[in-house]
Amino acid sequence: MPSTVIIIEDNPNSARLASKLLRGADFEVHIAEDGETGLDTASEQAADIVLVDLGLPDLDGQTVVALLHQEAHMADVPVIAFTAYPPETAIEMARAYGCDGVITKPIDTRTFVDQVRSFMKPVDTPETDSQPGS
Amino acid sequence: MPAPKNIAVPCSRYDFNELAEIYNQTRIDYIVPMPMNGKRMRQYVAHYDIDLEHSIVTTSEDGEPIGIGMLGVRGHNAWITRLGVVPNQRERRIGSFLMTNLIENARQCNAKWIQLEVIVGNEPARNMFVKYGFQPSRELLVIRRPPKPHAEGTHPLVHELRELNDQKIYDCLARRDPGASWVEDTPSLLNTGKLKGITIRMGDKGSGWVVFMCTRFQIQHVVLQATETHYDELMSALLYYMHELYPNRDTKVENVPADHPVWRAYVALGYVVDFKRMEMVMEL
Repeated sequence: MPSTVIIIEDNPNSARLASKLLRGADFEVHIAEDGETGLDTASEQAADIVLVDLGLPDLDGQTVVALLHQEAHMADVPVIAFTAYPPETAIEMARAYGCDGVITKPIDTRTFVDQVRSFMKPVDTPETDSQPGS
Repeated sequence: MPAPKNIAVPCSRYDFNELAEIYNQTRIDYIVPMPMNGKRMRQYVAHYDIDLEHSIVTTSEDGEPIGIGMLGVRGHNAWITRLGVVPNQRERRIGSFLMTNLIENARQCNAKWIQLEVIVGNEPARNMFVKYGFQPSRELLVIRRPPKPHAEGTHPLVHELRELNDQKIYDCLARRDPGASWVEDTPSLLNTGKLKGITIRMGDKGSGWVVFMCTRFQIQHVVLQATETHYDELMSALLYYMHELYPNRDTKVENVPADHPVWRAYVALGYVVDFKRMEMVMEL
């Protein structure tokens, strides 16, 4: 089953590029172009990871991150700051808001997918029953 | 070849979605991304008394928007904001064209003082403002605090805690200390129409109040005032109870003067700096 990523990003070029790279690596991608749509998408889709642009046109990205953290079903879902902020500020904001990581823009197309994967929680595999004779 | 002709069009000729889109295009590569949508632009214009008739979109000869600059006007004071030029049109003196027009418009509005803010680190913009005669006046901090529970054992003891009604909020704002920046000044707060407030008394340590805008998701426009003795303690207690009352709100406070003692209380409550601005002023 493909992993699901939600990209909350208002810049269509950035969203398209990220989406293309992730779909090419078998991710299921949902794009939300503003904060409120992103929150709705996160409540409708069982995401494995959410990328949040910190500069959004309706709600601040930081506010979106804070609201995502208040959703019980998001407790184990990594939320990543996806931002054009200067790296130092991005890291400080991400830390303050409890993000699980930072990806700065413009993205490096060679490493982006691996970066996303590195922030994802390992998938639990069901334990196989190895009892003999069962 | 003659320089391309720039045309100044009043912002009032555009709707809020169009203005937001023009503004976003000018800031697409900005140091601190701050995009807006039409709704946010409408609120911005209303909250900060933007005069759309005297704010301008610069277009190329074929009518394509290539820059924007907005002018807020309050009595004899004016404020330049949302100034920007689309990336592929920079270094063609469009910023200067915008500035010249906005300053002239401010004069037409009988402004005697004009001010603006520039993000610290944006040297090209700052240098341009200096050329027009603007002088740096103070550094301002934009700070934030995510919603989070208070640390154990930090509960301040107060003798009285009351929420303020609308009249009390107006009374408090009417007697606040002067010197707020444009976006945090009392007219901006009153324009929001979503103000809450609390007052506390800490026995012989004195008293204080905090007024703030509270929306569904955010607290903004925080104004704190306290008696001078035990200032830090009172300020921290006010912030503590503001967050206690609205624990799920993200908080963003703009333009806290970097050298103001209130900053100590914000630090104590876990605020972090988002970015810094330099306020600049000029007499007209």
